[in-house]
Amino acid sequence: MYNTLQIVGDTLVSGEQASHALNWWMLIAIVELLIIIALLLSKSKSNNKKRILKKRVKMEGDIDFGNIIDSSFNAAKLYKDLITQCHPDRFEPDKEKVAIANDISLRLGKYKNDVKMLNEIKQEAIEKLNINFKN
Amino acid sequence: MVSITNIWTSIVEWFQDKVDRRRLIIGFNQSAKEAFINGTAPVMLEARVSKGNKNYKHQFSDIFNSGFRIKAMTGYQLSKKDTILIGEVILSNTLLVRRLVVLGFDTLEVCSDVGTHGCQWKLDEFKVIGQGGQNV
Repeated sequence: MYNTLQIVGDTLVSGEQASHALNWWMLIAIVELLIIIALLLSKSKSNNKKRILKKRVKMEGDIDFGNIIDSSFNAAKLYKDLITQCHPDRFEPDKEKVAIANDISLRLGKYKNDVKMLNEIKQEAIEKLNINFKN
Repeated sequence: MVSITNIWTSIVEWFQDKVDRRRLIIGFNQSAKEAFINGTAPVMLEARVSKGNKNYKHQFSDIFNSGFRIKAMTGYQLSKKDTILIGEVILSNTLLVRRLVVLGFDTLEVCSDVGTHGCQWKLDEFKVIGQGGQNV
C-alpha cells in the first residue's frame, strides 16, 4: 500500500517536471513565431515595390515559345541568307533601293534571333527589292 | 490588421509564383514537343528548374532553385557554338527574360543530355536588352 502511494507521488512529481519542460518549449516556439512575424513585417515595405514590378511584368502578355524554339534552330540560317541577299552594295546604282536595303540590313541586325520578324523582313525584301529567294 | 493582410498576401503570392513558374516550364516544354513533332526543330528541347549559380543572385531570386535549364536531347555533346546560339535566342527575347527574372530565376543554363559541359548566363544582365524593354 505504502509502495503504491509512493509510486503515485513520484509520478505526479515527474509529471509536473514534464509540464514545466513543455512550457519552455512553448516559450521558444512563441519567440520563434515573433521573430518570423517581425522579419515578415520588416520586409513588407520593400515587398510592396517588388510586388508592383512583378505584377507589371506578369501582365506584359503571353510568351511565344513556338517562335523562340523555331528561332533557336532556324534564325541563324535565315539571317545569313537575308543579310547576304539584302546587302546594300548589290543595289548600288539605284539610290532608292540602296536606302531600303540599308534600312532592312539595320533591322536584320536587330532581329537576328527572331524567326518571325526575319520572315516579315524577308517578305518586305521580296516586295520592295524584288529579291528571289531559293526557298 | 494591415500587416496580417500583408503576410497573407505574401503567402498567397509565393504559391502563385510557384504555379506561374511551373506553368512557364510546361508551356516551354509543350511548344518544344510540338516543334519537334512538326519538324520545325531538329532537336527536342526540355526546360527544367535547376539550382542555378549562387553568384548570379538578384532581388527576385528563389532561395533554392533559381536556375532555368534548357536541355537539348541531342544524344551527343552539343557544340559550344550551338549552345551559345540557343542561349542567345532565349536572351534576345526580352519578354521571356523579364518574366524569368520576376519568377525567381537568375541563371540560364543550356546543355545537352550527354556530356558534362554547358553554358550559363546571368539573367539579370539581359533583362533590358531588346526593343521597348523597361528596367525591372
